[in-house]
Amino acid sequence: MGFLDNSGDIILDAVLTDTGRMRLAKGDGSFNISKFALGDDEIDYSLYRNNNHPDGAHANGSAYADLTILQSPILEAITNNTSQLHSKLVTISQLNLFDLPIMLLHTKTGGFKVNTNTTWGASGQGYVLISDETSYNHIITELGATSVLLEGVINGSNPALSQLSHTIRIDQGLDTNANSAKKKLDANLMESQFIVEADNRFIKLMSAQNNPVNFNFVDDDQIASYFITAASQGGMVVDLQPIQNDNETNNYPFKGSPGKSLRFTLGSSDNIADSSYYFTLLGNTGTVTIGTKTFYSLDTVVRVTGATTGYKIDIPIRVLRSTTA
Amino acid sequence: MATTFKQLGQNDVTNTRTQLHEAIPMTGSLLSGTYGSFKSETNVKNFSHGMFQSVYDYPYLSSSANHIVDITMGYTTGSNNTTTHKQNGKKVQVYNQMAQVLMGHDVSGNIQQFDRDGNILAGGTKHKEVYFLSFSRLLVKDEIKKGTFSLTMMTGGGVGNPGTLNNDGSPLVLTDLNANTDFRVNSPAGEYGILYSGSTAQTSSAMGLIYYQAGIVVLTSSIFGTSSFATSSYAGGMVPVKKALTGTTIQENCNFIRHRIANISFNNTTELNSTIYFCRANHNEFNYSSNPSYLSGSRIRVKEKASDNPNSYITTIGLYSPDNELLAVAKTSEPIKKTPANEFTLRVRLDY
Repeated sequence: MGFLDNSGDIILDAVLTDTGRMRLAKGDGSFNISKFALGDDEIDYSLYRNNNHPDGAHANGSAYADLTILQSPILEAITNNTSQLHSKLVTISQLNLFDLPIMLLHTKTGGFKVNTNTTWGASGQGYVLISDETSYNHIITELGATSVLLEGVINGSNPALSQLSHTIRIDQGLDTNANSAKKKLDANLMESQFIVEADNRFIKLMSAQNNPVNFNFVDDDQIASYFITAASQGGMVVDLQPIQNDNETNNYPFKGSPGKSLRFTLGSSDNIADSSYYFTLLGNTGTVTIGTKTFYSLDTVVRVTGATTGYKIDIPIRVLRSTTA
Repeated sequence: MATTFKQLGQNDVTNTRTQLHEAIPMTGSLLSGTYGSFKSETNVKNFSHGMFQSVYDYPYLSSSANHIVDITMGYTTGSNNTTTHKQNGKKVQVYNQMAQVLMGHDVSGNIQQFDRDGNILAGGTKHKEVYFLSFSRLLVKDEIKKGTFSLTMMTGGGVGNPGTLNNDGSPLVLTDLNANTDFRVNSPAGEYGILYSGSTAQTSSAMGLIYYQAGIVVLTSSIFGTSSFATSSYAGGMVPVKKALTGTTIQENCNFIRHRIANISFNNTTELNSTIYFCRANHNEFNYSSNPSYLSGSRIRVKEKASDNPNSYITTIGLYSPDNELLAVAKTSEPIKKTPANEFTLRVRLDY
C-alpha cells in the first residue's frame, strides 16, 4: 500500500475488509457494523520528546514534543482484516494514571516454562507443539523422559501426557515499582475477557485442564478467535492475588500490582496430526534434527489480546512433526 | 472500566444516496486512426460471427485495454430486406434483438420498431435501418446523464482524413436536446431521449434515440442522406449508403460509421448508496493507547507526571461487527492528536 497524501486537508481512506466483503456477499445479515475502535498502529511513542526521552525534551519546548509523531506517514487502508488495528486507543475515565497494565508470558514457575532449546525449539521465547503421538514418542526416545529440553514441549495429540510444562500462562499487571505488588490492580484496568487468536489449520485451543475449547468464529484467513472469560471452562481466567511478603519475587513476571491471569494449552489440529502437508507447504526450509530423528518444523503465533485494555501479546509456537513414522 | 470499543448508536449511522457524474469525452481519432490504419486498427476487435465490432481505448490484445463501445447495425423485416443481401439474416436479427430489448412488443406480441418521436401509440415514422452504438458499462456506469449526450459525425458526400471534418463541410451534431426535462419512459429498457440534429427539438430533425440506462444510441441511416461510404479503404471506391447497408457486411458498415464519428461526449452517472458512520470520540475517550511503544515498562511515555494529560494519536478507524470482526477500516492521512481537551467526530462513509 502507498502512503496517504498528507500535504493538505485530513482525509479518510475507507475500505471494506475481506471479511466485510465476504459477509456482505453472504447476505445473511452478518454484515452488521455495531461498534468502532480507533487505532495507532503507525505511531512510535518512543519518538515523543519529553523528559522521558533518552535525548531529553525537545529543545524548542513541549509544543514540539510530538512533532515527529505528527509527521508520521500513514499507509493506505489494507483490506486484510487481521492486518490492522493491532494497537487500539483505550478509553479510561481516570486521566491521572501514570502506569498501565501489561501482559507478560509467565515463565518463572514450573508448569509454565517455555522451551529453551535454541537449536530446534522456540529459543526461550515460546513453546514447541508436537503434532502427533508418534513424533512426541520419538522425541522422548531421543532425549529421555526427564530432559530439561522437554520444558514447554506440548504433546499436541494429548497435552496432558506432556512430560514437563505444557500450560501457557499470561499474567496481567503493572510492571513498575511505583505500585506495590501487595495491592491488587485497579478494578477499572482488570481484564474481564481475553481474545485468543490461533491458526485453525494447525492449532486447537485447550483449557488448562486439557479440554478442547470451542472457537467463537473462524475468519477467512483461517484464524480462529476464542473469547475467554472467567466463566469459561476449566478456570482459564484466574484472579492473581497480591503478594504477602517482599520475598515473593517469583510470583509474577512484573514488579507491581497483579491483575488477571489466562491459562491454556494447545492441541494439534487433525490437519497436522495426520499429514505433513502443511509442513511442506508452509513450514521452514529443511528439517531439524533431534538425536537420530529428523522433524519438519512450522512456525506460527498465538495472539492474546486483553479485551479491556487492548494490550496484545504474541506467543511464538514452533510445530514439529517427525519425518518418519 | 477501560474499553477499546465504542458502540455506534442509532444517531451515529445514516444512509444517503448521491449521484456522481463524470464527463466522458471520446474523440473520433480513438475510434479510427490512432492505432493503425483504417480497418486494420489494433484497438478494434472483429468477430468471426461478424455481428458487431468492439472498440477499445488501446490495442485490445493488451491487458491495459478498456472496452469503450460496440458498434453494429441492422434493419427490420419491414425494410427492403432480401435474402440476397449480405448477412441479411444477421442484420434483421440484430435489429429485432435490439428492438425487442429496447422497444418491447406490442399487444399482439410483435416486436416494436424504433419510433422516431417515441410516440408509439400514434404510429408515425419508424427508424427501419439503424446503426447501434452500445457503450460499455465502464463508461456509462449506472446511466448516461440526460441532456449531456453529443455526437458529431461527418455525413457529407466525401470522406475526410480519419478524425477530421475538413472534407465534409459542416458536421452533423446530434444532441439529446432538453432531455433533462423531456424524455420518454415507454420502453422496457428504461428512459430514453430523442437525438436531434438542430437547436430546436422538432420531429423533422429527430435522427435517433438514446437509451440512458442501457447506454445505447440508435442512429437512423437517414443521417447520411445520399452520401457515399468508402469501401476497401477510405481512399478507395465509394458506395451509396443504401448499397452499403445491403451490399456489405455488418463489419464493413461498422467500419464506415466508426470512420465518420468525429466526437462523442456525455456525462455518466453513478448512484452512490452510502452509509455514513459518525465515530464520535468524546473528550474523555480514547486518550490512552495499547500500542506497545506507549509504555516503557508500565510507565506512560507521554506523561512526565501523573497529573499530565494523557494523549494518543489516531491513524486508523475500525468498524466492527458485534463479534469483534473488523468489517471496514479507514485511515487518516495524518495522525490526529487526541487529548482530554478535544473531541472528534470522524465521519466514515462506505459506498455501495
